[in-house]
Amino acid sequence: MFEGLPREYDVIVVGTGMVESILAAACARNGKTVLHIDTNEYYGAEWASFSLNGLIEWTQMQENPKIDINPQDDTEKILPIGNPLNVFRNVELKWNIEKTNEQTTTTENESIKPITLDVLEKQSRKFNIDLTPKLYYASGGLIDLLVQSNVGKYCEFKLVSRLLFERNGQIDNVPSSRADIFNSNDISLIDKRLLMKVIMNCSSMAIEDLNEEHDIPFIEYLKKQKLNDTLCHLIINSISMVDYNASTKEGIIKAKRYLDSIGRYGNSPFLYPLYGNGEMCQCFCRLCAVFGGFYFLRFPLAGFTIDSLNNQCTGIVSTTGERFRARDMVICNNSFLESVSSNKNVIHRTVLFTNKSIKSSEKEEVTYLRLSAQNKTGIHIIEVGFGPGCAPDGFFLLYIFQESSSENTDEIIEQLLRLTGDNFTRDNILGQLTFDQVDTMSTSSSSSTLSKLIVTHGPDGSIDHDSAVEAARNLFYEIYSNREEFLARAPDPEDIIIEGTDNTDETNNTDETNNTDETSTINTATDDTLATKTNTDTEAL
Amino acid sequence: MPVHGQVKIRTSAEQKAARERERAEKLQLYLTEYESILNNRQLTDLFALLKQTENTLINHPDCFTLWNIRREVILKLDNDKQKEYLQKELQITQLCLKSNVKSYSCWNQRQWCLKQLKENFDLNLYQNELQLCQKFLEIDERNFHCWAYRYYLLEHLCPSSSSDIETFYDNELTFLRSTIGHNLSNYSAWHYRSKYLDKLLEHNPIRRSNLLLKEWELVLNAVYTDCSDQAAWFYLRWLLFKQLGVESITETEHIKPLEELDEIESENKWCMLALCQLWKEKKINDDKRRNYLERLANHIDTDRAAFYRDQI
Repeated sequence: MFEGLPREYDVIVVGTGMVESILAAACARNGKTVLHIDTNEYYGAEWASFSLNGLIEWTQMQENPKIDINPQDDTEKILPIGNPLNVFRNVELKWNIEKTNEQTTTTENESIKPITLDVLEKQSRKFNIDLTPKLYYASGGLIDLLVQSNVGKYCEFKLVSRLLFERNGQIDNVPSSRADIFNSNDISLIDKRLLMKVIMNCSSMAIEDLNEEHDIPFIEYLKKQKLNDTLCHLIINSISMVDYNASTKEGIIKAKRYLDSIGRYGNSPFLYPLYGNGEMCQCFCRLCAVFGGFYFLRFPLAGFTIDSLNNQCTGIVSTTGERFRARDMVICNNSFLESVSSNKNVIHRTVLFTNKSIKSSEKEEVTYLRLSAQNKTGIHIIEVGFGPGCAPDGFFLLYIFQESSSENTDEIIEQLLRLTGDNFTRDNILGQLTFDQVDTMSTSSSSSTLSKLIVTHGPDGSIDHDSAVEAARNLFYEIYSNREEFLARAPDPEDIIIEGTDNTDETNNTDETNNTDETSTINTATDDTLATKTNTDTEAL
Repeated sequence: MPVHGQVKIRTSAEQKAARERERAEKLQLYLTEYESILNNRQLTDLFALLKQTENTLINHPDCFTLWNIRREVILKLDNDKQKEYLQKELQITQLCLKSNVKSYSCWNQRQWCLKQLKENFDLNLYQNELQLCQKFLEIDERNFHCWAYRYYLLEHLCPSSSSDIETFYDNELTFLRSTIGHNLSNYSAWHYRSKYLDKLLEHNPIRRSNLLLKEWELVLNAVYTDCSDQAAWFYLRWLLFKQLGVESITETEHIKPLEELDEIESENKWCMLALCQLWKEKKINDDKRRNYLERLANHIDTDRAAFYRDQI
């Protein structure tokens, strides 16, 4: 099984989640030899996206039998892995539709045959369902990283075209740009001016400008600017996206991030990747492979090898006893360590399969709705459909999750249905997936009791990736100290000269990937979910 | 890293040198072509001349002389050939516009072609041109060349029957409204709005008070949303002084909202200036007016101090 696969590397990375993939790419980019493995047969781990059938399979996931490995001598200890799928609990998939239509003899009314599960399953590949849905701030950490490192050329995005908030028992569009405010008929002239003033202030304020007068809670600061309740709610909920008890400093910094992101690629601050969030991990893995990283999915991992004399992690061992050595470091996702099962913090996630958008529109939209109120944490609701390639035409995915879970999923759905009224009802919900995802961020520490074992965490309940990018960057500098560059821009093909030829437009080494087995490929030719352009809705990255 | 051969990556100094080399080559080529064309100008092989100039212009669309030469040549052709080549000319200018959307000479050439073709007025042709304008405006909604060209086209597309004209003007005003809705800094859009409003009012004076009321609401909305955008302020002053006229300006409807705005935004030079002009015409608040003008001259907009002092 491991024929041809080298046994020694600078770095071994276990798990193909976001933080691990960014780290693997950064190490390979700097010339380190990398072995990147995952026990799953797909990329992305907790961040993966699935077709419909893939998701159904995932909900029925099996636990692999544990195999005990004996240490090969006195200097070695073995740390067995836990089941990484233990980060998911209470996985439930319920359908409100029939499995299939009976073959009746009726010839009437073919058009009003209710939709059945087998019809959806036939279109399985048109679904791309995220385990961890997230949005990308146009001027945020991850997009900047994609642009800076040139990994952006492996992916395509859509603008999150519609931002909604709750107003007077209904859902309305968020006016956040000058054009939105100008065109709004719901805001008085004076309120328009006051709102614009606050927005311009937040945009132009630098961190150094914040002083004592900003020590008050954000809601009080906004009231001081003479904004009415609706506008305060607009800014807190939909522009800053903080809780009601947030400080002014936090409110302004987050508002600034939102406002800085508007206009970069269009009239909205957020992007959503074509074919779902799972693509992102694959893009970084691709970069790693391009720079010589080795990939192995469905790796039969038993545990980590440890040098018992100095308590240092030295590598990994497979269930068949083959050992792979890491000279510098082993990077491993939290979910592989047994301790995860004791963790109490969870993120409740819900995916609704629907046949109608929560708010009608003439064109395809990617929608983000944030609900919040006093004393409640924000609820993120993302709707994607045919536009970003996540569902067949006429169907939608509705993702619901909270920063820190305080509310019951059913209550949230009730609240949403009250807001959408007749436009979108329970009948439009064809199926529902709910699961709990352990929030490993709070328990992760970059140093375990073992040296040379770096532990990374999974996703949190926020809407963006900044914590993952920051974590990857910080861990990289910890391993290699600040002298090395983190994900430098990969050179453009025109700038690569191959010595020995006069010709300066030799291609670079994008075609050279290092494959081992049939089970591990990142080959671009086969996978139709990898796009190679960088076009967003309006502009190129 | 690849196994065959050493891979070297160009440094930024080398990149710069490579770029310089490319530019020098391009320049050399251009100079040679240009000289050759000028030498051939008097020769009788018109088509060769057209071919030569075409090749050069596609890379260097801003060369007036070359376009001149083309116009000379096309006029020398006989009628059927001329029509054919005028159509071709439109395609060529389109190619050239791709490399420079704001080329004076390209837009000029297009307009010249349409003028030549005017004898055989073709509605389709003008409609196509309008579509083209639309595309260019989508790329850059503030491309004033494109706006001017669009205006020229609409002049020719304007229907002659009275009832149709009004719809025509109304449609254009709706289009301009949506353009302003995307970006209220679009000076061209406001400018052409003033032109069309004029035309519409001239055509149908009965709608005057209704239309002007709506316009006032629109421009007030604009200056409240963004009080530092000069396009809206220019339009506001035009509307008040040139359209409405001093007699129709009332304190409640026009002056008061601006005074309220001034209270919220006390250092805004546009608002202050507009108020000073209004107070002057209405002969009220003279002391306050002087005070404002002094402040504008001495503190707020000292670059234009003389302008403000002149008004006192």
